[in-house]
Amino acid sequence: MLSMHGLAAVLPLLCLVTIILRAASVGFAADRELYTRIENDPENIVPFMLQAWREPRGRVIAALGLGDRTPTKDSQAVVILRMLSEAGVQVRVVSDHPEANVVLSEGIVLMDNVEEAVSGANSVLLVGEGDRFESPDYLDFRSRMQGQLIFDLTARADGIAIDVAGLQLLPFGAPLGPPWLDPELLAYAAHLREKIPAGDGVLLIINERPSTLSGRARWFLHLNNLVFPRRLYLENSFGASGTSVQFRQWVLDQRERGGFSGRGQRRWEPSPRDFSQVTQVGPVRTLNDAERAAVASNDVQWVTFFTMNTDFRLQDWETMTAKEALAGP
Amino acid sequence: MLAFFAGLFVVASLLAIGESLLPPTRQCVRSRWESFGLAYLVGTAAVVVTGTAVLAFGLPFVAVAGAMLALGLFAILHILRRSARAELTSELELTRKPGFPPLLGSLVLSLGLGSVLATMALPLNEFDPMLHFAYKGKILAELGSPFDEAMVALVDENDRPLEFGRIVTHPNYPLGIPILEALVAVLGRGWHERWIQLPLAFWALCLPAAVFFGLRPIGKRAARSGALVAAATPIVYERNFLENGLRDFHEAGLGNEMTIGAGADLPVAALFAGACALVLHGRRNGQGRLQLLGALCLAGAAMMKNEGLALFGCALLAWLLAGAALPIGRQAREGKGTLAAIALGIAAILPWLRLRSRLPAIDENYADHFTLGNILHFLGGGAELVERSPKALVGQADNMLANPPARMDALPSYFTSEFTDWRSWGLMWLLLLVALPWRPRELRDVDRRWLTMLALGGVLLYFLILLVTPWYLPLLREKGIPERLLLHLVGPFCLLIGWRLGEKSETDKGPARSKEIPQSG
Repeated sequence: MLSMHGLAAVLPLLCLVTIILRAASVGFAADRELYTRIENDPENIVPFMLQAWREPRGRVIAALGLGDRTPTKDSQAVVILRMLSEAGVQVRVVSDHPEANVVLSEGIVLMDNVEEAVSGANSVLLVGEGDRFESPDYLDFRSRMQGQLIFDLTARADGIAIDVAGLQLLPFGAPLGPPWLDPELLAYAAHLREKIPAGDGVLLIINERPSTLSGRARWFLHLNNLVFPRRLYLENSFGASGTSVQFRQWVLDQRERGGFSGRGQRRWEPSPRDFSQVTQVGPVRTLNDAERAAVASNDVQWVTFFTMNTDFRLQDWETMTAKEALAGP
Repeated sequence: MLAFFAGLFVVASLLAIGESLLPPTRQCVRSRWESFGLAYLVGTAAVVVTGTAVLAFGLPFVAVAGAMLALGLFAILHILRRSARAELTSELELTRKPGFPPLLGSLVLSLGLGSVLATMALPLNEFDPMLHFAYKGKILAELGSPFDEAMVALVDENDRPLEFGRIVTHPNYPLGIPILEALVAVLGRGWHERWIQLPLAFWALCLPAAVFFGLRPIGKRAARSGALVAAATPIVYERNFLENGLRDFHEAGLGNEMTIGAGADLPVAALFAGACALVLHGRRNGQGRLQLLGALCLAGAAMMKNEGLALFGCALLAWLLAGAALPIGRQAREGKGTLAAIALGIAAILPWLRLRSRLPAIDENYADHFTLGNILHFLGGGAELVERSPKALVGQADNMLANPPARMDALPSYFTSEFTDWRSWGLMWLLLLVALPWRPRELRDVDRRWLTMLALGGVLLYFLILLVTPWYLPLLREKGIPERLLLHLVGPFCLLIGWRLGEKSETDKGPARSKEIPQSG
């Protein structure tokens, strides 16, 4: 029986060897590429895509690619495009797959080049196809597009480059990797470390009712860790730092009390923005009395406004001096 | 690079401090492999227990680091001098060797070294190790005290949540792992997400060595069997590998299925194994010093994770109920040694209890729920706490809320599924079943009695804890409970199994006690 138990050692041996080899393949760094991407069902994605517009009918979307594998009528991207088309969205597709003509439903336009497809589009849908469309020129997109939405199914879109171009990223691929490896989070944390002296106090202000109960939306936990020893303060941090049950209650409390509108505050936007280049969607609002008191009582020099979202988007975060935040627009 | 050398220095210091505390090899025969494992566990326990005490009395962390630097250097020099002087007879050299056949020896060594390399292959990359432990390490290293605002400014002086406070998860988790990480950061003059893990990479390497040492007085065959069982048990490294087929190769080392790494379950298991092994060896060979070091390891386990405190209580109860701490009769000397060990253990955890009482508690007050009323309620079919389920959290659990399942419907099946989970446990549970002292004659042995009480009592303890847990049980199951808890008991399991497997040769071929081990106090 001991020998049979000894055979079980094969499992940890295999596992340990795999860990070392896989880590070596990415230079022994924690890398998002180590994580497997999971495809979401089109039925779960499309309604959220359509909600991005007040009136989807007549909007134009340019899809870049149909996926790495040979597309079929049941492929994720093909089904999504069919559902968008059925909802009245004008769909353009750029793809090298010879099967594209066969699998795409009627009304969907297949185009030869990206520039033509993107021109005048309200949004771009990143699907990918091998290494084509791997590093799109988002600044060029911005100049050609009518709207500013980038839908991403790849979970690999460069959120920082998209933000720099003044475009908005809406990711619909399952998140690739854990939250602490999100490139936009890491970029914003690096920005704060550069901007804010170690030891300074930062008041985190949520700007409106949180729309999600997802634990992944607790970016403040990771930011707090990444910008340490800067002192981050948050309203009822006891609940926000707790387990899922306490966090849920914290979100419900925030929802009940309301964000800027529920507390008689109003939204404003500094120009230029601190880091994000996307305008008119910023999270800044005027401070209420409790927040003003917190700035004074906690030796706070900075205020960071944010919108709670399951994805970390640069456009959702804005940092300014406490003086600027107290002064308002 | 400085962080790497700081990590190496901390590891060398832990080993040297541990080795200095252990009796010399001439008085307490052990191989280099056992010496490494025991010295590492004893040294770690000594440092985290002392470090916690220093912090509890309000001294800054720099005092802990300074003491570590001085003691580490002193201990390294002491060990170098001692080993230069030590000349063992060829007979003693022979008895030191574990005597593994080459293939098995290579397997045990490969698994141990593989676990060290795999731990260091990636920088910190898991939620709990990053936020529950390493963040506190940063607080100790940079701000110097667990009583800094960063740790306590969640609540006001009346324990009410502050309107605006600092962000920290589980503020009253033990500080053992943060102390080890912060030592590397302070001595390396900076926080390095890879090298701060270096002192946390050796648990799986040390655990089988500790088991071997614990069973040496029973016989080398027993010791080899116990160590092999410990080294070959998959959950010492990871859980449920290949449960999802080939996909697990793509996700190896990336989820919370890993036991190795900078988490807290394996340190508890290794230190608890070390405690049991030292006490067993000390009692069988009449070496009180080993029993005291065992108690130190037990306190060290309590500094790693909250469950360590529960195991501490379980061990005390087992020693008392089994009669191991009775200072009368034929085993009065051993009993006195165990009593002294209990006293030392209690003294060692008191500073932590004092420190803990001054830290905010978010949700870790298990003691509040561990009541007879609660236990009877759930045993009698009390309902699962559905309102804490993920579905209820997002408002989708109307059916579940209307007809909540009884907790007892699920909990026993969670345990039985572990007992048959060969991917995580190999055949350990079957071996343990065979190893239990079924014959009354076997139960007359005090050591076998307390080991059995500890192993079974530990399982029962975790069953009861999960019976009254204030959290939604199926969610805990998803997070690897109860297997992560049962892992803590691997030490006593392996000691019992090795004991049983070693018996045949002792009766057929030789004495149960190794005659090569000299007696000393």
